[in-house]
Amino acid sequence: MGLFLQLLVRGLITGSLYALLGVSWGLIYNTTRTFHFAHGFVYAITAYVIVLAMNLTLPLGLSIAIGLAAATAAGCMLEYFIYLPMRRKSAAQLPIFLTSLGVMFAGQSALHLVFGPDTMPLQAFSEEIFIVGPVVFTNKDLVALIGASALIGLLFLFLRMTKAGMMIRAVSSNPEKAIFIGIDSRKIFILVFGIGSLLVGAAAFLATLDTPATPHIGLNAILMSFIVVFLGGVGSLPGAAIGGFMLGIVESLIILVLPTEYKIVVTFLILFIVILVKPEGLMGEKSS
Amino acid sequence: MEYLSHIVNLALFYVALTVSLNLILGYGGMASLSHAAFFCIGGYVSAIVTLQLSANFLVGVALAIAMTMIIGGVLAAPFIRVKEEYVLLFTLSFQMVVYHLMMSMDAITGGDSGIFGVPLPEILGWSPETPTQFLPLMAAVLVLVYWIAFKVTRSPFGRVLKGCREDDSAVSSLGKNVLRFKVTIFMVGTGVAAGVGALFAHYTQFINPSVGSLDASILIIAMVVLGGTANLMGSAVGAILLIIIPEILNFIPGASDLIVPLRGAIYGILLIVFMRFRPEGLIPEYFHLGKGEKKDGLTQKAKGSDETVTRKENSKDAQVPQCKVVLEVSGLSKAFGGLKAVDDFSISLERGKVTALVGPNGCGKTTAFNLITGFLRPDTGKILFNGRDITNFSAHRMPQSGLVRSWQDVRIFKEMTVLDNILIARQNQPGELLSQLFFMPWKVKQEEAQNLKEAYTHLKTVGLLEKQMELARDLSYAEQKLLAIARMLASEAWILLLDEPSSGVDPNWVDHFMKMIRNLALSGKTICLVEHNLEVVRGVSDTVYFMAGGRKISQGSFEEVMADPELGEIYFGV
Repeated sequence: MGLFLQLLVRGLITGSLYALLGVSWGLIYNTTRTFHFAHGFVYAITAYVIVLAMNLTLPLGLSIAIGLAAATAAGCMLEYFIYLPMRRKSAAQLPIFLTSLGVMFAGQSALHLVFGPDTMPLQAFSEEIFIVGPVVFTNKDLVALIGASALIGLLFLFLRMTKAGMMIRAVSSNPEKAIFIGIDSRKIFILVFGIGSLLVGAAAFLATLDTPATPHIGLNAILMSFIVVFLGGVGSLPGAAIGGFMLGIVESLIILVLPTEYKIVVTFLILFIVILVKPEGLMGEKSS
Repeated sequence: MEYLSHIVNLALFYVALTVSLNLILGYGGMASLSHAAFFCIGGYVSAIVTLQLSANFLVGVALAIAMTMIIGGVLAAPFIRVKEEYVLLFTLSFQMVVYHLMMSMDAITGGDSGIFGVPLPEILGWSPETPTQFLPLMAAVLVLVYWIAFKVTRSPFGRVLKGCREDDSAVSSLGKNVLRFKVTIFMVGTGVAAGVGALFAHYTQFINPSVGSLDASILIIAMVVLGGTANLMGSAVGAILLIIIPEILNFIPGASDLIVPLRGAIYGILLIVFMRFRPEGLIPEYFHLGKGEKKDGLTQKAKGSDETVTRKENSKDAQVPQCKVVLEVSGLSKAFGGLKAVDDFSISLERGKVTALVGPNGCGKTTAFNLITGFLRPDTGKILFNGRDITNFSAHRMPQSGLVRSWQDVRIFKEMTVLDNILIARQNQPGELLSQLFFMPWKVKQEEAQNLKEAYTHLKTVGLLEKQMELARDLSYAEQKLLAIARMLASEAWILLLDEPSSGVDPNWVDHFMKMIRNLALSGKTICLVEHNLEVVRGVSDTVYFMAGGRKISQGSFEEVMADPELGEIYFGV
């Protein structure tokens, strides 16, 4: 029982990060239908920027701000200089995805070339360990869980309460009709890339508190991002959030019965079964 | 010398692998991120089979191909079924899973260090012991791979596949099961990759997970993109270039530590630059068109097309409608949420007659079309075709039973030639089955000759014979609409459902369309059209159905329906 609780808490913590990743990518995908693989590169570059800023002995708050600014800028630039011109040339999904894949790989190789293959730990603050009954966790875990959940909550509030948020929802649900009520979808796309990248940057910071940065961290991030989105259901951000928490918990609890190496296999199996039974995802809209 | 031979062998391996991915990516339009994983699975299966059972390498290769195809097909089909993007999801996750399994299942795969001592290939006692000796074998295998790839892509099968890449719905509206084509090409591509992977394990006498990493999969994608998607010769160019570049890096002193990231950077940048500025790759798909050169010597055959064409009498004739009312639709309803788009709609189409559906925008005409043609499932109602219940047939089964539709937005295959646009519509093609393509090629050839003749007749009917070798996207809008009609005719369906055949067309052309529709009805076709242009409706239709709010309001001849003052109010708001 003690182990179960401990694993459950661990699952919640990783799950919150998966959920944040999923929501950040899902926001971009639902609105723009861009298979933004380079999201993983935005993730990696944010982690590096924050670690480097801290190494320059900048204060933590400033380092985070610089990191998030870099993430937002990177996302917007990708949209403005790469995806937008391609969409204008009416490029299909596939070429846009392949370009994004190229950005991801060139980017991760560039990080490797410049900073070397070694891990770069983030010394944000000293670790404190809390023990509550059978459950052990650290202050970093707490920051990750609360930070990720709060950001997801804020995003939902933003989408429901603000005018910009409603415009984003209008464009995601019907891009053609949004034009008729005077919404410039190009601006919305850039906005969405900005917000999505800001969120993935935050996820990168929260994850790097615990796991050091390497040139390849982006890959797992993007993989989890879109597994969570498709699991939860395309078009449904709450679906992505729930999918993220669920995946984190299942992945963690599975250790009770299987060795850790099989974590990814289980993830895939879950995905496979969900797609088989309910192709539109757990909370997705059924498309006609 | 041996080093050079080894590089050549390596390049040939990658050419074969690139060709196999091009089948999936270029022709199938699916980006597979797990191609290296399938390659690697092939290697492991063959290595394990030959080592454990001390079987001949050919047995190992054959098993590797079979197993990988089954794994690929069974696992990919559910994802391919949903949407293009889901293929990315599947292949990326699959790639990660396979890589992790290869790394962690030490007992079977040898983990990180892999399996050593894989036996050399052995054919009738001969074994290639050096790379130079292996070279002819590899060359032969590559020829075989190219032969398969050409056979598959330059065939009725390949034609449908190209159609799917552009427009799934249009392909199913012509009676093809899109899923079958996509899954088949995915399996063929993975099968070839596995075979090549198995051979690779025997050649290097060693297999480990490093050749099956995601990076390796991306490398193969970069090769396809660089060479040109859907161009098999381009694949050779792409693969050879990307094998040679890193080999040159080897000679730069001090660069050896950086080779891996440098390679990654080069592949990534090439992907970006090519997709952004030259998406068609070094050798574009249709580089041979428009240079005065015509494909496959079809021009000669075209000249012979003036000969009288004897209509093909085949089993189809069993389906020639005997009764007067060919299509009987009763009580059709469909609701989207709270909105009843079509409400208790009934219509009967008579042989040789033209029936028009008119009504204001949003009255449910197009939804009714979609229901009748299987693109939407009705909530209630019945569709009888020639007395047979076809209510729950999926879209691709409709044309097979003799009912075909056109689209408001034309939906011809713009990246295909005019001729191919017609040929693709032919029903029950033996050449669309790989089994027939490979084992009964004479039958396919015969059928294809017949198809060409038929296609020329239809092209002549609509007056596009001269433009048969042009890409459909280069036609004018009216010509595209004509092509869409010719495509329906080529399907030999008895019932034609035309969705706004004259919209967006120059008024000069409208008469031409009306005459054509009348002629089709005279030739015995049953026609139903949705149309806004009342001149056209008056000119061609025998019966008019007026719809509003999803319901049929009235029915009769054009004059009868138009005489109803209530209708004028609904339609024109007067």
